[in-house]
Formats: sequence, structure tokens, C-alpha cells
Amino acid sequence: MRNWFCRKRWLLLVVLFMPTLAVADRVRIELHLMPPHLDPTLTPSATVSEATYNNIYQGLTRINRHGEVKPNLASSWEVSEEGRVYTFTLQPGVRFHNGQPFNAEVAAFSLERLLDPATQNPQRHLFAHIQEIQVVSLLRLQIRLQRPDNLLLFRLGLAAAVMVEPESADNNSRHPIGTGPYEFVSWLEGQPLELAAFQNYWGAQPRIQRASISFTSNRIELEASLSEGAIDLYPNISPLESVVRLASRGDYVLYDGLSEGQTLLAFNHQHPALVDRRVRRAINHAVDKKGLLDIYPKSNPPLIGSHFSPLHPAYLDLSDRYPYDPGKAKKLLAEAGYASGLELTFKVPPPLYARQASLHLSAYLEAVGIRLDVQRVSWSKWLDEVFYGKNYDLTVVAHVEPFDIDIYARDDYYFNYHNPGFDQLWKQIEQEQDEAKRNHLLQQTQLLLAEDAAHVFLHIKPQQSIRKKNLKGFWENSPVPAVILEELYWEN
Amino acid sequence: MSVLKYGLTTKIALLTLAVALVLMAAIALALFSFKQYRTTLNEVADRELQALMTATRLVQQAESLVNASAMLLLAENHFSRRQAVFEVEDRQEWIGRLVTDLSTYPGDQIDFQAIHQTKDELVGNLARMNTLVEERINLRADVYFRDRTSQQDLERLELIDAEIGEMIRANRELSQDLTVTVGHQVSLIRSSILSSVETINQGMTLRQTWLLYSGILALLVVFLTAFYINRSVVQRIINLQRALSLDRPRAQDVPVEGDDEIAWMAQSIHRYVNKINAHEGRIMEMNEELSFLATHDALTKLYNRHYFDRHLNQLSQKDESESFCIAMLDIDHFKSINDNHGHDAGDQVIRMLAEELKAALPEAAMVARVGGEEFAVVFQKLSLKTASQYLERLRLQIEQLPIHVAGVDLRVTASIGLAGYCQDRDLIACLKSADMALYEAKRLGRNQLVVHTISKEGK
Repeated sequence: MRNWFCRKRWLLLVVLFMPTLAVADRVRIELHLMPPHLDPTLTPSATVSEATYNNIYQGLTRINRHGEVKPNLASSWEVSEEGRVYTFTLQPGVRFHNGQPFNAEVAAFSLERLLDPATQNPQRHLFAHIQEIQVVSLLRLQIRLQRPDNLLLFRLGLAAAVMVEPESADNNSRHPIGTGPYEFVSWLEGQPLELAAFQNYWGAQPRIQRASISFTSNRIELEASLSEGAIDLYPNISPLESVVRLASRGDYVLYDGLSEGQTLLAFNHQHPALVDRRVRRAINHAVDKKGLLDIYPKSNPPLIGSHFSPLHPAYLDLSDRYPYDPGKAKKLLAEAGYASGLELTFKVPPPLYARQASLHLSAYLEAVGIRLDVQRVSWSKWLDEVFYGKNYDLTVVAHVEPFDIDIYARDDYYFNYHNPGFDQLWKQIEQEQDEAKRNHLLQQTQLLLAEDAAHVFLHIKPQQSIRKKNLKGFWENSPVPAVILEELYWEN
Repeated sequence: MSVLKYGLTTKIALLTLAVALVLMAAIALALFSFKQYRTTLNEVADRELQALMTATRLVQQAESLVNASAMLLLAENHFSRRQAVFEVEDRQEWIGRLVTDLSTYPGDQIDFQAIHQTKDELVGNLARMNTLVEERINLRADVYFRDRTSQQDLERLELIDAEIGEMIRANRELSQDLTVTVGHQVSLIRSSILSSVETINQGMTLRQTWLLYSGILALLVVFLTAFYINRSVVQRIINLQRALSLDRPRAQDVPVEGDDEIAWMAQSIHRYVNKINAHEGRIMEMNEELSFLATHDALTKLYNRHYFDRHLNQLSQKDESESFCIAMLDIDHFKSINDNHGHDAGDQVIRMLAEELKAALPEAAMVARVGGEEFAVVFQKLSLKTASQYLERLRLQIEQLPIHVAGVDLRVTASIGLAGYCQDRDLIACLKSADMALYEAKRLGRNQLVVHTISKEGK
């Protein structure tokens, strides 16, 4: 009888004190773009990937913090000698957040869905050479390619290729279901996205049990929230003016990381003026790329001259191809018939870097006689009007997807850039297996884009992050857009 | 019955349970109070404080909007104009979100319609100001860089400046309106926080009293339990022990009241004491019987020869010297009774004679059967004359005694020899003298008493 009471009392204590324990085990993350929804297989918006990749959803492979390919839902794989057949052995005992098991059938479903043009996967073109997907056994899956592709494993680790569960896949944009260490709790209007550690996760339980991810790029709000300590981690602080003051405060630490994000002043090549290379070159000369870096008070990212990451071995430094020269810009504009000026619409998405850069870019362009209609648009509006609608003249944006120079070979891409020479080069690159020859071809593409003045290639977007001093495990560089909650922990 | 059977155990278990229950109730009350306290505290911290923060930010942002309009006013080029506009837009967007956040606060609420309206007016003014400033910048550029200054431009500039001044004044008022309205919400939230704190404080005071009472109650129950255990267990065991530690415990001294384990034990002890005492009685009885048998003759229940000798021996060892008389008695012709009528008849005659002896002689006389048909009597503190009178009367009674044995009537006589005033120092001589007297009586024809006198001095 006694014993029974003792036990009951203990239970009572446990029940009463449980909420206290839960509160300490939480992280609040702020991301700068509001995702249109939560399904990374349906949008090119990197913010969806940042919130969900390897938190909610996982792929067959994963890209780690050093940009290396590691096993994930596929525990191992074999590649046939000619490089055209990949056989994956899948992780056993994996369950989706809705309780359904993960196996080769599900993996095949996910990949078929990715390849189906009807599902509108933004990275479908990366997998277009998959010839056949075959379920060998419950935990073995075979992918047959039309041609060898040494990037396949990397691509399978991208957020667009995550594994989804057939029953729930259509609903993922509102209620995401994956195999990852965190499951979706809620995402109410005006509230943060709430995630909680998934108790039946196949891997090790994460150390932080709950995560709140909110989204804003409002400078005023960010500065207030940061100064009040209401944000534990903000991965994109670089262009914030108060960063210097925050850095000297003691409770926050800053880290200068690099992303793969090429920041562009992008042209709509369909515009009658912008289709003229002289106008594009004029704008290139009008922009003081070095001066523009003033928008980052505490970091000094590398300048670029083409759509390519300086971290890649095939990188060619073309940042000086169009030196800052307003006189030359005016001359080129006059040559192209725009001596009396030119009117362009400049659509600015919400991120802070875009906001700050647009001020300077507008001033540069106005200085050479280009009149601008500057419009600040929300992220969903930018996706609708610029990315899908191609209804813009100029925009400023960072392309954070790694190694995405192939977008210039895509007819449907929002740049409206068409150059048969580039398409030709890209086809060669895809088929070239020799590393050195491939790199040489890649350098030619960079050169081609620079010569063509396809855009104003500004700089690599700095990935300056700010986080609470005792929050550890954050990816300081971003080889892929991701905030890996699983690796975060609070240090006492 | 089962409750009775486990009386004390049940009672103590119930008392323990009562203590445990009171303690549990006190602990539960304390925990519940903590929980409620924490819930309220969290609510104040999370919701009300958040709302207060939101409202405070809102006031701050409303004021900052006026600063932003000053920045806009000061813009000399499109860069600083855009910068000011961007900031205005950021603040406006955030103000919108803050107002939405605040309007979801569930407590008392002000009229948010008014806030929205003021905000929209403010934003509308700022947009208008932006257009004006843009135009002013362009006009000024025209004025400064053109060769000829147009009168129309100058007039327009003046108009613009006037309108901007008007807007700034309007904005200051709108911002003050906003500040005052939101300030009202701040005061509502503040009083809500204060009332939450007051409620929890009252609740806590009440709980404190309850907790104190339940503590006292628990203490009381503990004391009661101790008192009960002392009274119903310890004291009774002490009483039992006391009763048992007597030299000769008596059953009636063992307290057996009640109907519980100790009572049952006391009853067992009571039974044992009774049993032990009964056994002891039996042993005493047997001892008495044995000692009777050792000193008495089985047939007549008179003292036997052994006792007679011991008695005489004791008399002889007495410190204080005393004289006494000894008589010897023998049944006449007893052998013929045995021969003619059997030993049983003989035994009966002896028994009857022994009865007669006891009846006829004074109680102080010691009568013993010292041989088959021979008896001895010791008279103490009795004169020889009185002794001889007793004996003579006895002899006559025996003579007249009707004896009916083995279907026949018999008559017996006895011869008696009496020796008088024997001294303890010459017992043997005295006995011999009595024997001699008896022998003389026999010789003189039986059925008579012969008395031998011994001098008082011993010679």
C-alpha cells in the first residue's frame, strides 16, 4: 500500500515538473524569407530547404557541412563499372512521421514523382538522364542512367530529391511528413513554424527537442528581436547595420561563412533594351561592385564576374571584366540608342542584402541616366511575378543552389537567356567524364557568360551568421541551403 | 470477524494510512499550488508580458515613424529618399504585424479599428510625402543644373515645401494619437498583469493557510497514533510483564480485556498460568499423599511404626524436658479371628478398633499401629490418672463393641499396658515398661488395663 503511494507521488512530481524540463530544450531560429509552403520538391525557394532539409525531410544521400556526399536513407551503394547503374542499399527500420515505413518501393515512388513533369519539381532537369528506377528487393533500389553521371550522388542529396511518403506527399506543402529527426507541429498564420524531435527517428535523437523557426527580413523587427535576445540563431545577418554593435555585446557571436550564392543584378533578356549586349555591358560598367560591398559592415566577400563559385577548382576570376566606369557606361548606352535615358522596373525581393544592394544599385544606374521604378515585393510575390511570371526588367537576388550554372541552358528559366553556344557547351560538359577537360569546358562557360554580360555578377553572398554564444553545432558555411537542427546543441 | 482477527494490525495500518493521507494531501496541495503559481507566472511572462512588449514596441514605432518622415524630408537625393522610404516601409510593415499580434491578446481591448485608421492615414501621408520629395529632388536638380530657372518651377517648389510642412504637422498629431491609443492598451495590459498577480497572491495566501492546517492536522494524527500505540500496546505489555514477574503469578492478575492481538496473547498467558497453577496443585496433593503414606498405616490411617519411632525420637530431642505416658494395646486372641473368619475379617476388626481408638482418645494423643494387632498411644500433657481413665473407658467400649463381619457377630477384647511419667531421656525403658504392663495384663487374664508408674525423677 505504501509502495503504491510512493509510486503515485513520484508520478505526480514527474507530471508536474515536466513542462519546466521541456522549455530549456528549445531553439529559436530566424530565417530571412517566408517560405511559400513547406515542400522543397515543389519550389526553387531555398528558404523551404533551409527550414526542412534534413530536419523534416531526408534524401537517399546527404551533403554534409563540408559539401561532401554521405549516406543517409541509403546506407551504401554500388556503381557499375561503366558508371551507369547505381544500386542502393537502404537504411532498415526507417519510419515516416505518420508511422508509414520507408523502403525501396517508397524510394522509387519519390524518384518517379521527382521525374514526373506534372509535379513541377524545380530540379527535375538534374535527373532527366535517369532511364529506369527498379525495386530490387525491399531494401534495394537500382537506378539506371542514360549516361554516366558522377554528380548523381550529390544531386540525390539535394532538398529537391528528398524521400516522401505516397499517402501524404500531396499534402506536404501544408503538413510536411518526412523521415527526419524533427516532425512538423504547427505553422499558424503569423506564428513561427514549430518542430519537435521525432520520437521514432531511425538515427540518434537530436539534443534539442523543440525548434521554432520564424521568418522575417524586416530590418527594424530583426534589430529589435536580436537586441532583446529573442533570436538564438540568424544565419543571414551580413547586411544588418547594427551587426557591429551586436557583435560587441558578448551574448552573441558572429561567424563569417561563405555560401555558394552568386549575387546577381539579373536582367530579363526579353526586355527590348536588355536584349542588347551593349546595354547589358553599360550597366555592368555602371556598377561599382567593390563599393557595393559597403552594405556588409563586417565582412568582405569575394567579387565575381560570372555565375560560378570561387570554391570550385574550375573557377575563373572574371570580376574585373567590366571595371567601374560610368563614362563608358553612358557611352555604351548612347551607342545603343539610349542617350536620352532608359526606363526600367527594378523588383527587389525582401532579403536584407537585396534591400540594401537595391539602394546602391539604383543610385549607380540613375547616375548613368537610367530611370528606375523600384518596387519592393514580398517573397511570394517575387516568386510569382519574377521567377514564374518573368514579369520584371531588373532584380537583385542570390542564387544559393550549388553548381547551378546549367540554369543558363534552360529555356524556361526566368532570365529568358538564350545562347546556343552556351547550350552546346553545357551538353559537352554533361557528357565529358574527364575531370580536366570538364573543368576546361566549365571555364569556357564562365567566360562566355561574362563576355555576354548575361547579368551583373556582383559577389558571393556572405553567410555571416549570428548566434547565441552557447549554441553550438551550426553550419558556418552553407554548401547547400540548410539549417541542420540535428547538429545543434546548447553548451552549458 | 476478519477485521477482529487483525485488530491491532488493522488499526495501526489505518492510522498510518491516515498520516500518509494527510501528508499526501499536504504535499499534493503544495504541488498544486506551485503548479498554479507557475501557470500564472508563465501566462504573465509569456502572454501578458509579450502583449506589453508588443504594445510598447508599437508606441516606439509610432514615434519612430515621425523620425522617418523627418529623414524623408531631409532627403537631398533619391538614394537617401529611398533609404528613408525603405525604413518607413519596414516600420509600417512591422507596425501592421504588431497591431495584428496585439489584437489577438485575449484580455480587455481598445478599439483597433481606430489604430488601423490612424496608421493608414499616417502611411498615406508618408506616401504622399515621398511623391512630393521625389518631385522636389527632381525640380531642384532642374533648378540647379539648368541654365535658366523657370518661375513655374520655383513656385511649384514653394508649394511642395508648404505641403510637406503641413504633412509633418499632421503626422506628428497622428503619431501622438497612435501613441495615446496604444498607451491605453498598455495600461489595460498592465492592470491585467497586476490583477493576475493579485489573484495568485490571494490564492497563495489561502493555500498557505490550508498548508499550515494540514501540517497541524498531520502532526495531530501523528501524536494521536503515538498516544494510541502507547496506550493500546506499550502499557498493556508492561502490565502483562508486571503480572508475570510476580513470584507466584496468578491467573486473575493477568489483564485480558479487549479483543486484539495483545488481548489474545494475554488470554493465552492466562490459560498457561491457570494450567501451571493447576499442575502445581496436583503435585502438592500427590506430595501430601506420599508423605501421608510414609507416616501412616494404610489399613487404619493411624500413624505407622516408622512415624511412631520418629515421633518418640523428636520428643527425646526436645530442649525443654517434658514427661508423658505411653500405652500399648493388643487385640486378644486375634490369631483365632484370622484363622476362623479370614484375613479380611481380621483387617476389618483392626480397622474398627482403630476407629474406636481415635474416637475414644483425646485429640492430643498420638495413636499408631505398631504391629499386626498392636497399637501404641503417646499421651502428652496429661496426667497418668486421666490417661488410665481414657484407656479404661476405651477397653470397656471395645468389649461392648458389636462387630459384624463375614456374616457373623463377633466380640473382641483388648489388653492394655500403660507406662506413666516417662522422661525423654529413658524412652527405651518407658516403652519396655509399657510392654511389660501389657504382658502383665495378658498374663492376668486379658481384657484389662495394667498401669506401671515410673518415678518422676526417673527411678
